[in-house]
Amino acid sequence: MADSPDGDLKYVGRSIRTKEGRAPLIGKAKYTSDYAFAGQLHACIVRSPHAAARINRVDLSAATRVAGVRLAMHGADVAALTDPIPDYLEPALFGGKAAAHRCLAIDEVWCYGQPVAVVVAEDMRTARYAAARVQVDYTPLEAVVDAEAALAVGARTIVPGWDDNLLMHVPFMHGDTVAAFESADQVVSTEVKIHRFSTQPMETRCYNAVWEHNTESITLYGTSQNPHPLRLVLAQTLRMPENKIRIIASTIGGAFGLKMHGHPEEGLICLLAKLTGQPVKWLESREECLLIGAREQKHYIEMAVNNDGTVLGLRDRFYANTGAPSACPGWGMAFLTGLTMPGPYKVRDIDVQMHAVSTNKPSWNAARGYGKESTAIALELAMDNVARQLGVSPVTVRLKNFIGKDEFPYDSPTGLLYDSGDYAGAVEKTLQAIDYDDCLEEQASARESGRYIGIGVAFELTPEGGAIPGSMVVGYDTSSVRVGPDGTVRLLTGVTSPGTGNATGIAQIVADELGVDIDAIEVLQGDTNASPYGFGNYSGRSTIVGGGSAALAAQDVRLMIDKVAAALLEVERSSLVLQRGVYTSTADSSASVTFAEVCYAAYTRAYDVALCIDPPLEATRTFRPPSIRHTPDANGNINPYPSYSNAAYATVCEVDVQTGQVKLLKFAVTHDCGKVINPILVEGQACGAIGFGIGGALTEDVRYDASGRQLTRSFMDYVMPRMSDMPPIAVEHHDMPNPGNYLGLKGAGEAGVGGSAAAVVNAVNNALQPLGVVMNELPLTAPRVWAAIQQASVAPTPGGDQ
Amino acid sequence: MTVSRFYSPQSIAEATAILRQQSGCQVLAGGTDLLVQMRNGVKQPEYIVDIKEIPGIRDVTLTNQGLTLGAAAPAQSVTERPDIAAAYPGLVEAIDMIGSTQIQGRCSVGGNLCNASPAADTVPALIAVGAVCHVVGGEGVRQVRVEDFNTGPGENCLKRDELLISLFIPRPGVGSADAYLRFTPRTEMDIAVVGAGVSLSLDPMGTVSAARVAIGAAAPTALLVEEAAAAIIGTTLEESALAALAAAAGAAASPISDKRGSAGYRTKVVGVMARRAAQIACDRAQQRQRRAH
Repeated sequence: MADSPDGDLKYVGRSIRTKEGRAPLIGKAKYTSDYAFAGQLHACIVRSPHAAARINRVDLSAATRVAGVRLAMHGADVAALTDPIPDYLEPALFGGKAAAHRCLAIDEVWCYGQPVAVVVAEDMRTARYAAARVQVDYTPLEAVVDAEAALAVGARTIVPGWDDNLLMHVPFMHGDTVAAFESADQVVSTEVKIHRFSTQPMETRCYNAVWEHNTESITLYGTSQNPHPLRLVLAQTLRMPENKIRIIASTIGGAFGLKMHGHPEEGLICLLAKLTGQPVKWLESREECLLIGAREQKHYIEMAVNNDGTVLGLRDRFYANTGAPSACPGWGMAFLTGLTMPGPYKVRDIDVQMHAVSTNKPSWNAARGYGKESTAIALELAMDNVARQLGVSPVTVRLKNFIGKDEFPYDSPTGLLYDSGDYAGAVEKTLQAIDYDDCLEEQASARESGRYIGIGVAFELTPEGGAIPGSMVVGYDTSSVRVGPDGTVRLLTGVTSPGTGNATGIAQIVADELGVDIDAIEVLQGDTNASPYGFGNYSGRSTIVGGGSAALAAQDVRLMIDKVAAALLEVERSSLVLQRGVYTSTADSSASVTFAEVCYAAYTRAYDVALCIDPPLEATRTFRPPSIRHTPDANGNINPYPSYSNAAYATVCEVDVQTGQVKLLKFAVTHDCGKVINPILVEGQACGAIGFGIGGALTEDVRYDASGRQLTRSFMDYVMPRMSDMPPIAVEHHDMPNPGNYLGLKGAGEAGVGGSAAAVVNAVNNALQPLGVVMNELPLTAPRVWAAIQQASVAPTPGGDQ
Repeated sequence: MTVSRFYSPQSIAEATAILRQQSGCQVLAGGTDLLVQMRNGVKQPEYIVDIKEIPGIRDVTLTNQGLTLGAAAPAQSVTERPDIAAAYPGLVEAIDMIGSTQIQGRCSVGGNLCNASPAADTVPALIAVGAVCHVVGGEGVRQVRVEDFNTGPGENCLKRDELLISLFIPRPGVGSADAYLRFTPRTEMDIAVVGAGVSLSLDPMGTVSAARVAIGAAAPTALLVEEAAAAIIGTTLEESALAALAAAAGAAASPISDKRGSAGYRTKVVGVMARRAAQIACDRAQQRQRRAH
């Protein structure tokens, strides 16, 4: 058929206002905690005050005597009725250790804040009051809190039966690193310490489980990024068939990986609803939310470099403190950090040793960036160190080592297949966006007047849409498009939205494919009884596979509608033109019928004009990105990613050397997420991720005392930036469409955390270079920067890397 | 425990009578501290005495003599007045640092003082400008200087039946001005790691003729640091005077170490804030002198 070149009706590429944005904006969005049901009960969880302890006895009697308490349980009670929580991502798949994950601790607690008992009462106050009356007799054990200390000979093993605390060791090796280091002019060593920081969605987790007496099943209203996979986990944990569980993920107020499943409360709250026969709700407090950790890694990096800045080889030995074993997929971040080395750089000889270490800190869950942010931080700080040691510009060193724009598809030394990119072009755009040359001049004149201005540059490669064989981390997803007899569209998709607006992006794609107004499309996500089986949101996948599958389904349905239109108008299908909801024909100028009339005919005239189709106007399709490869290559490597988003960052900061405070004056990012469906959505994602990176680099920090008790318990201590703390951000797009994906999509959302954090740290080090201060240990809080300046002024170590 | 009675007295006498008769009373003004403390279980008063209905207690009056702030006057009734900001720029800066716009519609300067947080922003600013508390109780009326009002974290000098009615701040002269600075990890809606308020007067030659320096979040209560003021009186705020001011402010501090900053850091940075505040106050005083001429 002739495509109507109707510019007005193309939605892809335009900044369409989000369909789902109005309700949260006016405070009327229905979040999980807004659901309340007749007979609603509330749960309060008793958590361990110790990082490591033996549980001698849990006495619930005082709690159960409180009026209004309906149920109180300890670990053994719950274990009798449940099975261990299956791993989201089994460490054993990667040669790691296994541990049994229980909803409530049984004999031992492995971390501060681990759930030990639970109380259900008629209201929240009573539940809290009664929970405070649960008596737990502990014998504290020596807490193992530091990752490297946890691996020392003689360290207490935190999981009974394990030989040591090494959850997993994976080498990522390629080429001849020994030869590379021998032939290099210099070796530059950099130690990078990435601290524990979190993602802290504004909406904390909430689970409200309803026991459905009619069907003897459970409906869980839950803050879940992945409702279908969670359903399988709950079925196994609760010893129930999957089809007796329905999960509804309502409006989500931010997730960032923290709402991927494996949390002990998920199954626990369902069990409580089943046992009481009443709805049971649990709402996570901010203090509880802050327990969920991520990112903490210590890297020992060596780069073999020639004096011209060429990096010949990379060695990195790193230790990730993944906390206590858990069923959540957080530990996988450490694996990804190794897998995505050496990022955007054409270094072939690498020897990267990843150690994921279990300790008595609270467990990790996935966190935006999923380890790739740590790759960027480690590499980009090391690259700046190379530049400092060689006395060349940080920009030059990067340009010297980038994979060239014409070298794609590129086989990485760890087996990844990078689809496309123009890294040097992105850096160039970014430098223009901050007026790099002007910044250098400004820096020079500021230094003369005793002000310390720094410029930081960084690059970040964020593979997106990942798929791990044998796990529920899959590369494909599925959507259904249903067009009703009135011509309106119901779109159901297996990908979910954590509040990013992907429903709007997917609707834009479908509107273009169907040729309908975007307001005629309603999107439904996150209900396992309605949506096709899907895997939710993670790894920047939602628009790639949600949009891709919706496009395929829409194409199928459009073909059906076109056939009926042709039959109605008695013209050839190839002569049809659909414009503003009206079909006409280039063959017959009098022929005209509305889109809605065609749809009505498709339903009501199944025995004449609609004989050419199988009603209803519905199609379900899956998009399976073709470039993922799970069959190992000659080196045993797989390519788990279909797309390789990337971005360049630059920032300008001023350091107040009297207080140590860092102020960001400028920030720019150039983002390549492939074809941009909706610029405002991509920019929102980029700016949000940059906020995470800036907060992580400068102020956010989850701290512990020596005994492993968590000290950071509220937003007073956990200093996330607010809007007013953010610099103005110039966002540039540099699309290099992915040749393997629908519309060339690469995925957005994760890029920003690591690259921006690295740019900030590099800027601070650049600012303080005249003072001989180099900090590669995050975060750069004001007191720490101040202390480093004091230290340097006592013992100046110009160019030193510590 | 839940609140068993809520009083809303219509006069000072009625309020003090309630406070005298009932133990376990908690005075309520804007409630931005108290209601949060009650929700968190930090305070569990049996009786609440809402003073907002007392005539005049929410008034804000600026005369040639000075500024009178009713104890329950919301912060916004101060920050929205350009005439007050012109006369007391540092104090108004401090008031404007409290919470968000919504909070400022409720919270009062009097409440910020009575809550006695060592990190309260308005307290060093009030001390710097020489504010005096007007206190009424069963035994009559007394005046308390702000630097003597708080006795420890969360503790103030009020007796059980006493009520803070208003604060009076004398009008600064032509060559006088104030400033308040604090250090926070965030740019707004945060709690001071340290803070410093300075007011000073310049003589026609530009020499500091009088000064008051106060520091916050650096000791159990906000402190008036006379040594710091002495360090700049008789000077033109040359570098050595500012350094001496900073050293004196640091020497007076006895801060705690916590997640937000070590004692050593706070001691150093409170001096930095004090010297910068002094410089700002001086610049403002010079501007006023120029304008007066």
